[in-house]
Amino acid sequence: MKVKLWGTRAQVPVPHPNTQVYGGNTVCVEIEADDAPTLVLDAGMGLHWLGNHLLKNAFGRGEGHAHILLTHVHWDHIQGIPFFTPMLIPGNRVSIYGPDAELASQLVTQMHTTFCPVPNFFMDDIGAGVEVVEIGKSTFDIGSLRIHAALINHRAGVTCLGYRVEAGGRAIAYLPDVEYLEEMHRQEVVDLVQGVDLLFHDAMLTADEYPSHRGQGHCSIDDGIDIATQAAVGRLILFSHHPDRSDAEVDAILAAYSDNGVEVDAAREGSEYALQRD
Amino acid sequence: MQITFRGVRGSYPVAAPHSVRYGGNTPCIEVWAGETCLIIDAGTGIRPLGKKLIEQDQREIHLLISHTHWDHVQGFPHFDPQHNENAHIRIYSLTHPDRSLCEIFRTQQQAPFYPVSIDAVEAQIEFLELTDGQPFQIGGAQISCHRLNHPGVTGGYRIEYGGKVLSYISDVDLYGPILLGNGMENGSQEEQRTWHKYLQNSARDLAHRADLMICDTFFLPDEYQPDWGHSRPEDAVHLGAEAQVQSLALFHHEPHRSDEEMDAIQERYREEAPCDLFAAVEGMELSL
Repeated sequence: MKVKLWGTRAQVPVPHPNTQVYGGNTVCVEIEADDAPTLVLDAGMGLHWLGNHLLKNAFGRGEGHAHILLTHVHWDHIQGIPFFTPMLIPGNRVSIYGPDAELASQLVTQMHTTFCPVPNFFMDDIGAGVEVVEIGKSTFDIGSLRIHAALINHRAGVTCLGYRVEAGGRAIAYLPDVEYLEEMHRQEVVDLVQGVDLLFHDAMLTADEYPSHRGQGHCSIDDGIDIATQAAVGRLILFSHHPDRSDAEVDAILAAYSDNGVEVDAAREGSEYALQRD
Repeated sequence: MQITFRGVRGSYPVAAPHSVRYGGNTPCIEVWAGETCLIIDAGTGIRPLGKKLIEQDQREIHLLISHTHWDHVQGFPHFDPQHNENAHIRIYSLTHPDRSLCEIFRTQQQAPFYPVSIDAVEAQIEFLELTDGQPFQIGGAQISCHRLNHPGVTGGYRIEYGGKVLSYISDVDLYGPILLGNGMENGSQEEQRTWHKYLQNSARDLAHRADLMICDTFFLPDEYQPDWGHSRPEDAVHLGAEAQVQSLALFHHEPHRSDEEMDAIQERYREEAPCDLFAAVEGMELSL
């Protein structure tokens, strides 16, 4: 299984000289595995650049099939979809999974002509074949990949999932936006991420910043450390960098957490993690 | 008039190494007409501007929206003066036939898409819908908004203050063969001819003898698509000559255009233009 990061930033794309190392695109992660179609976690602005990359192979010929798992529909997790060029090419197929009964109409709202000049490829006769699938807490397979989805706590007004993806005896978990207000919230996540090789976890707020943002849907980095320790995670990847965080500040955070008994890394746009078959 | 380019990139924000120098934020122009704070468009460039306006406790803010495609409104939820209880933000745009400006901004800024509803923020937010060609006044600035040829409902702005003129003409296909705006597409041949003439006159009126014209130049000639609603540098140069502008800023850069390509475009069209010409750079400040 190979994991590539196309977007690591929370809330809003941040083009800036100070975000060149960790990246300014909103969240998007690609997973490749033997005998599995293209799998994508979240569809922030990073999805556009992944799309450009995919056009070099089957997707450029209208023969690709991508599966996109959305955690939730806040803009920073879906705003890349209108600019995912493979969707403009007839013959391609895109399956989008997410946690809301209204998901299809929410994605069409983003494509409405008031906001978006790109042809609405959610219509049957335009571009790729698109399928929208509502999911809740569930386990299912996409090719050789086993997916576990769990409902997690983020913010009032939106339903949010976390994901665990397994292949070849290895596992990763993805929780870009999460807050632990009750013990139950914590237990749900510990169960989901138990023993994964890589945990991509919300690191938008430092422990100092968290108290003034309590209830706003994001935990502190210390919560991520606790979860990783409790669930015996191989490596914790600090993910969802705050839009105001410069590369130097992310470096400093990483240095501060380097000695916690857990292996910690900070997500860099463009990074790849290869997990060898067990 | 003091002008700062806060976002110059078209279509979507580009956080990538190829565009660091010209900038990757979507359209936003900061304009000070004396003490009056005017902002044109709310692309992601408005986010850092908001932080500055909070620092200086700017309370009266006037936001002129050209149109409501994502790249021109997507920064607004991240505009911090929304959370200043003393701020009064007035948002202007041409009237849409099918829904109110308030409703459009509310769709962007409410659950499930955004956690903080526009109806719940601390600042007072007021929506003012404009009529095509009707002049209006903000502080000492005389402003008009004219319809442009672009999908949906799009207007360009002309701002006159202290004897100087700024024209903002984006997004637009200035001389394109196809009518793209709401209500223009399906008329008779005669109606279509009238629309073409009307739109070209509108662009000329907006630009007339401007000290600075900021103009959509998304396409290069070999990339041009007649149904997208964007112009080429030669279109902007042509309008600049017709309207006798002093200075022309190439704007709304194509997302994949690298800094080196922008340098070359600026070089090339500088030679052709009868006025000053430059490619807009994020962070650039000008005084008229």
